[in-house]
Amino acid sequence: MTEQVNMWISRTNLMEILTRWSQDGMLIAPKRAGGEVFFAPIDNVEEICWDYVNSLISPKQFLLPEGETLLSYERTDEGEWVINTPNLDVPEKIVFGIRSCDVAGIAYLDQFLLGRMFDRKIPPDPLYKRRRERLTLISVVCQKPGSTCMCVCCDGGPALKAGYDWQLTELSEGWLVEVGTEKGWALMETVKALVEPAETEAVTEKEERLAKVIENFQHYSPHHRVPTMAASRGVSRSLVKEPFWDLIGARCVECGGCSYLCPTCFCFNCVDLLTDPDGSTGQEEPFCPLAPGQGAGTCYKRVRFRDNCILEGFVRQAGGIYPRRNTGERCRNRFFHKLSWQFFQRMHRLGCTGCGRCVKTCLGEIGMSQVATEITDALTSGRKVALTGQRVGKGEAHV
Amino acid sequence: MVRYVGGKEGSIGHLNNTDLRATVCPYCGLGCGIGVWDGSAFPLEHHPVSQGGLFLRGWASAELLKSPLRLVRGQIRDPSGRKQSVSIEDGLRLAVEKIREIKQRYGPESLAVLASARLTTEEIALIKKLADSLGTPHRDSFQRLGFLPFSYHYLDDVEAAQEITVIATDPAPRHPQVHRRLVRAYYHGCRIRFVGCRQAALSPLTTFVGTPPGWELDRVNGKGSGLTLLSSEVGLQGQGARAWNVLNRERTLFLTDYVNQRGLMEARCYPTRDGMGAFEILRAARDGRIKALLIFGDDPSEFFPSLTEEAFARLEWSVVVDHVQTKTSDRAHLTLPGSFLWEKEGTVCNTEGRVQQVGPIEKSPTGWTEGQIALFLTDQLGNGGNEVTPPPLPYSSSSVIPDTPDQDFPFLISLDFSTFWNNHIYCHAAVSVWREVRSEKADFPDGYLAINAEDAQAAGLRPFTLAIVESREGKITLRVRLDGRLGKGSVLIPVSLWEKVGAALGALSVDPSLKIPIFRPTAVRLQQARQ
Repeated sequence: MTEQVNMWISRTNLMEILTRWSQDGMLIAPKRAGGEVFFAPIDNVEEICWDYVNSLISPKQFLLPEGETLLSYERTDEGEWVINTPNLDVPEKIVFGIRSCDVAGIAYLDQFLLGRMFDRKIPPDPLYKRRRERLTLISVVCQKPGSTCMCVCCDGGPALKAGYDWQLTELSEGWLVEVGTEKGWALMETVKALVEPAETEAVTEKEERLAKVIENFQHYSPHHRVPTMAASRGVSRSLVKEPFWDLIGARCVECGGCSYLCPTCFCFNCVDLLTDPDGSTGQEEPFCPLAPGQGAGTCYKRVRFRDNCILEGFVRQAGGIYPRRNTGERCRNRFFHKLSWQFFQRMHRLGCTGCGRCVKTCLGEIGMSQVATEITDALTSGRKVALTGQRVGKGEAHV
Repeated sequence: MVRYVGGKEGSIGHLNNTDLRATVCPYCGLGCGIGVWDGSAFPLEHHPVSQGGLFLRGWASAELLKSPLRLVRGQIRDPSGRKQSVSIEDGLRLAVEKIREIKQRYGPESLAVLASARLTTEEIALIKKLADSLGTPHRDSFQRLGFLPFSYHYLDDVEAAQEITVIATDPAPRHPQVHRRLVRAYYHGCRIRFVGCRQAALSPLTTFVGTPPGWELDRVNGKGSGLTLLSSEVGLQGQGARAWNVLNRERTLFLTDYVNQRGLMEARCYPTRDGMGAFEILRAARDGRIKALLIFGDDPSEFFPSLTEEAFARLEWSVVVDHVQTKTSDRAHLTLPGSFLWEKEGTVCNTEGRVQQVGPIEKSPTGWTEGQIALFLTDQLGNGGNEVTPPPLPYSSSSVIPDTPDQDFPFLISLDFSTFWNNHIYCHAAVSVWREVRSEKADFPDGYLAINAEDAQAAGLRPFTLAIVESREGKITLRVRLDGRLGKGSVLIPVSLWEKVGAALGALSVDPSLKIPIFRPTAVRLQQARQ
């Protein structure tokens, strides 16, 4: 392991580096259109948006796209099936400007999709692995948290200790660069003429700035960590009963937004699609019973689509069995995955990194921070009897 | 591109010079702002309606661009029923020839035109102009059904209200952005009251007033002191004119069903005083009084599959212009591909009255839009009539009185609007949405009878078994589905069974002033069928 040395880079040199990467077609960075911020390939560094809190769509889209072809197959005139595997030669990309919460989210995805759960050797997902190997994460530490941000409550930021390739913090005179991986050091080697070791003052300034950022969190200060942990305990120990989840479920409309935007969600579904061999019409239809369409294609492809544990169709099993029939039960399942110790042991961190996207998108106001607060209220206030469905002992109330 | 024209927020300007393209969700009447990037749709964060949130249908709306049901070429049906490809230009020439011939032989009143609320207002205006120039008073849309012209209120008004009454509808599955505003209003201390036969998703947090279907207005009495919300359920149960008369002086927000239902009405594409409504047009076609039918984006098969089949069997000529393949387009003599809302320029008007200008964010596969086809036909055929501005519909008919349950017929049957969208062609055309809505089709392929568990037990009905539903005028067999939210004494059927069950039980009739078909809540009795 390379020795941990912090680096320093001037503003001009950073622009020079970004220009090089954009000219090589490798750079992905935040852009602004109207009021919207989104991560996209950058052709000209002038397009980069510098004044942003975060994008609504998580950069996990570059690792787990909405849909991706796992394989395709077709029958030859001789009646033999030919299976084509996808091209794994994905181009090298550098994501600049990713926030710490999203870096932590990708670390969480790695835990599952690179087969690291329980520290066991589990076969990784080859498509994800290939993309992950070719993606470099250059995070930029937030200095202006948004109204829904709560990374300070769940070890998701504003700065991280690991998970990034480079972590940049803007200082008064330039940028502090912390390098987190071998890949990061290899990248540093390619630009070493533009970078120099950081002075101790730079590290001190970063610490001062971080302390100030943490003070600037609007609704969810580090003190809010207590409700988050309390909710985690309540969920882990099954202290939160069905009546509470029924009331949460009453607000859920099953839009799926929380999961689609969550940087740690990876649920998916596989379907076989029937399509034209040359894709000339661009039409694809599901190849399964009851599917709409005409069955005009001759080539099949197996596609992995994003999916969502909140949706009724996700839990439906063959024969019309629904293990989690109502929205309340499905919400309980979701928050158990996000907050419980059981999943903490498996993934080595909470399933929430505090990005606040679920709070922004939820049509029922049941984002993570809102539910964590309600769980704590339910377990500690007089409402606990009504909401948990049973009296909890005195000791258990101290959550 | 999307731009807001009007509305109190004013314009936020075009989103251009970028590879993120902004447009409007093509589903319900709220008109959420959608960003499309790299083939995926996501909600616009700084849009006054979406505010970073979308329903599942909206999240999957980019799938409509490459749907298996997308129509990309013209088709003509030969006498044996087989479809053959035809170029759009040849198809249009043939259409002009046939319509001209039928008009000369039978007169302009033998023609009828149906438009759609998923087209832009400008296109609908062109379609109305086509009807005017053909000289036919028969123009309408099945996507007008149940609309009531209450004045505009903003979603912000819902959020800020102190007292809200929601009549006969559940915004969670049908108008999710309204559900979101209701949740926010609840946390601001608003008193929310749901009135209906089935509890809304939010009912456990609010007040629920249970009524039999069709009797909701009796519990409101027109004395609402806050904001009243309602949607097409009221009109489709025969209470439209009464709701208008009871509530039009109150603060009432009508939640439109489709993305441009208000635009459809603004363009005045509804029947003239002498003209027939959409349902009557189909009946007239079945009876041989309408000889040629031009349909732009509408899908009568969604609600009335049998009548549509019978009507199309009698029509001498029918043209369907649409960008998705529907059961209606399958039956047409000539099918011409149109363009998806995201592939054209125009405006749509949402339930608040907010006009949004949309521009093409994708190239149309054919280069033709429904509006261009209507304009071409007007140019070629337009010499038979002057522009007609129909007066507002009178909303004056006495309301259809719903049945009252009695000892012999103790249940009241009506339509289940919670699955309203499941039969819509867009839900079939988007793979992800179809996967979600197929549960109902997989579990209950022939439809269902939703009933409260206690009622089912009392009537001796077991879930998933067949029940005989009998009214004073007829009976039908349906599969039992337990619904924990449904009040006692009420049973519901999916909207897709409106025609079949309505005809069997004598519940299908017409509201003469609104010129729409209705399902009259009808008293029935239930018994277990022999399996």
